[in-house]
Amino acid sequence: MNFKSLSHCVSVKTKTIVLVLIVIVALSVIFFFIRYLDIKSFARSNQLMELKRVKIVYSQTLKRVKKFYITRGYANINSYGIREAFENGDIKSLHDLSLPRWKIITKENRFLSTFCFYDKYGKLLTYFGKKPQPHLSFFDSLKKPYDGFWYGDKNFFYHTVSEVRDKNSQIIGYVVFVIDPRFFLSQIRKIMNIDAYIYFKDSKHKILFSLKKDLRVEKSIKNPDLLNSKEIKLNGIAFLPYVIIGKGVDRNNDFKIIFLQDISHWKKIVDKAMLQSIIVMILLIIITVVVINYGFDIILRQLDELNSKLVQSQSELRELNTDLQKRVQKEIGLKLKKQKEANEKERILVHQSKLASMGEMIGNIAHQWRQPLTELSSILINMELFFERGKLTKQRLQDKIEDANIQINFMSRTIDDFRNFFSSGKQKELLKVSVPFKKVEKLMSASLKNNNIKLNLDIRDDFDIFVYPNEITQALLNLISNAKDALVQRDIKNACICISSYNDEKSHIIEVRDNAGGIKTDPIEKIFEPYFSTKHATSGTGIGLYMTKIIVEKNNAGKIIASNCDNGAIFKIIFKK
Amino acid sequence: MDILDILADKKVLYAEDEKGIRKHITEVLELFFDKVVAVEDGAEAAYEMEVGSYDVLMFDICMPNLDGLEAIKKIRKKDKKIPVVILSAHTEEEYLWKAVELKITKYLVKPYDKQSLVDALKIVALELVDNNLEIQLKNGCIYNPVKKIVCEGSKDIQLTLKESRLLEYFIKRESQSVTFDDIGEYLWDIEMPTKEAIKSVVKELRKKIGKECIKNVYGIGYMLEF
Ligand SMILES: Nc1ncnc2c1ncn2[C@@H]1O[C@H](COP(=O)(O)OP(=O)(O)OP(=O)(O)O)[C@@H](O)[C@H]1O
Repeated sequence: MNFKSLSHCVSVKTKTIVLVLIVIVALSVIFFFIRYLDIKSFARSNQLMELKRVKIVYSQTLKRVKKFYITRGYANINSYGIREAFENGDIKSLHDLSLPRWKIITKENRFLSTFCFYDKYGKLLTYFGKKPQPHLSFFDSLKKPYDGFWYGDKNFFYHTVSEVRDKNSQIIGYVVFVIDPRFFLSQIRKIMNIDAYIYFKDSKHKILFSLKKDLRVEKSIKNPDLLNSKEIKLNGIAFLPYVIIGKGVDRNNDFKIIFLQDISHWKKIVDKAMLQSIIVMILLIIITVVVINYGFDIILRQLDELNSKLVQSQSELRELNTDLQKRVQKEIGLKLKKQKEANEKERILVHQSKLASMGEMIGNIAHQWRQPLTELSSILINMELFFERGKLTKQRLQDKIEDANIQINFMSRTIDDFRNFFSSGKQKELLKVSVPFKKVEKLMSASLKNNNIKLNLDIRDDFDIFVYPNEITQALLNLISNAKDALVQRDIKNACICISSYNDEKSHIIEVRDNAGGIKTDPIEKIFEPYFSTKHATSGTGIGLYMTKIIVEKNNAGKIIASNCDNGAIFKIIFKK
Repeated sequence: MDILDILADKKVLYAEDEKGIRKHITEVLELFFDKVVAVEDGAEAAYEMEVGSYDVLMFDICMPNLDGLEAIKKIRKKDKKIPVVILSAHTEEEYLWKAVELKITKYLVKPYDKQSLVDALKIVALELVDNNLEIQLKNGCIYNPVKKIVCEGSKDIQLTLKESRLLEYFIKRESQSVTFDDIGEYLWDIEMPTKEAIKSVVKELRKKIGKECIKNVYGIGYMLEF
């Protein structure tokens, strides 16, 4: 199982590596291609610019040359004796007069090949420099000679024509400058540092002009396959040829201006980019392989671990399943036991509180009885002393016995009250709230009086409550005896406890209020917790309020809230209407 | 000889708010004292102390208006000597300590029995005579406050109530001048007696204990000398 998963994973690993590699290669190729296109388009725009510049240089040169030589021609014509010589057909004086000018002009431009003169029919009169055509070619349509590139007399050249006119503006001859096409090549070279070629070709002739002789270049230029922007190789260097069509005087005289741009520089850039891409790609591949390989190992290990854990937990689960029944039963048993314990605790609390309130009750009984006991004892003292002195008359004796009986009756009634409190009221009853109030007053009056505490009953609304009578009495007793404790402990002057009953919109309210200065515990609700007491261990168990809360809230559907007012504590027992 | 007889010519102020107890104990106290005034709360007790003169106080602590201890505190500011018995239901230490501070003669816890009440009264009686049951007078006479008798050699002379009261009043204030007013207020209850009446009582007493004991203080009153 282990091995199987491993081999399975290995194949996944190889697949992943291959996939990632393919993605990387593809990305690299795309990246390189984009780079290449980028360079290419940059190079192309660069080249196009070059072409444009060459065109401009050529056309500007053409314009300038034309203007220059035509002006020169007219200058010559207008100079002394030239026009007369033309009129008179005086070739010798024409030649002699023009010679000094030729000397100057030929120095200005070494590509100026001929300076020549024709009569009005185009017949050569005289010339300087290379021998020109004996007849000036005329354009058929215009019937006059024209500036421009011509092919004539086995030669291709450029010439300007300046007309010579007499006083009546009749043409009487022509002054012509013949310029070697290489002049334009030299201008291009001078301005742009580019070697250009001029190539003229018609059905019979091919003439190539260049500033340097290079047979291989000439051969490749003469190659009819030469196309604009199609890369060629010369001496192992890549060139891009550019071809501009030069206009001859007519269609037959059109020619090509060709120049070659060295693109090895761009080639190098492209190569470099390619190399970089490849290097990056290889690096990426290596890193990827390493990372994936290593990562897979880790993942594999973790998978293995997980797998073994899974196996383990599966077996645990099985165990657990079989065990579950037992455990559930055990848990239930435990829960029941805890519940029992809690119940037991609750029972103990109730018992303790019973004891506590019993203790309090006994304290109250003691207070209740102290007065009648004192009275009884004072009666006895009285009788005894009168008797000793022989002054105990029959009448006195009878009076005293009656007084004593009254006290004894009172005491017996008191004990009945307390007994009732502990025994009766096992059932909920509907009773007026004044009933427990009165009862509480009766039970507590002596104890409060002995502590100099006034108890006010303020029954504003004598509403009905449905409660266990003795429980509600016990709750009130607890609240009052707490108030009493606080009043005594803090030695309050004009100590007073007020229990009142009233209605508001939603509820019946019983309120126990004292002026003992309030509850110091924070948060206040803490006083309702069992065993919370600020009193000395011997006098306070801390169950009183807890039990009161239980009694009020659990058994009698009320709610108890403690709060402080400016001079004391307020406890409210609230019953919903 | 009954020490309690010392009380026979004395006045007691009794404060107790429980009507029944007050009635029975007042009757009892009347057996011992010349006069018993019973009041029902502390404030009344304090008032009585202002207007009348008493030899002994018996107070309950827990009373309306003015608590017994508070009343005693007030009285103690004027009279440091008057014996006080407290009859209280309180057994708390706090009260006992307060009582001690107020120099209480006896603290009786309710309900008390006859014996403890009688014992308390005896202690009060003895305190009233500074624990001295045979008081030596200047001329060799001896006064017995229990029997109210003056012994001169082998001859016993019985003093009347007024005379013994006056003599004991003088004894308490020996070597102090006592005014006619003081005497009048102490010996007579309601209306002030004439100077003559006072003088005649003094004269009777001088006859029985010897003239030299009681000196005239001119224009003021008398002084007892030993
Ligand atoms: N009226 C009150 N004024 C000020 N503090 C109070 C008042 N009522 C209760 N307390 C505070 O609440 C605490 C808890 O009261 P609780 O009745 O639960 O216990 P206890 O009175 O201390 O003991 P026991 O229940 O034995 O009387 C008291 O210790 C006291 O600090």
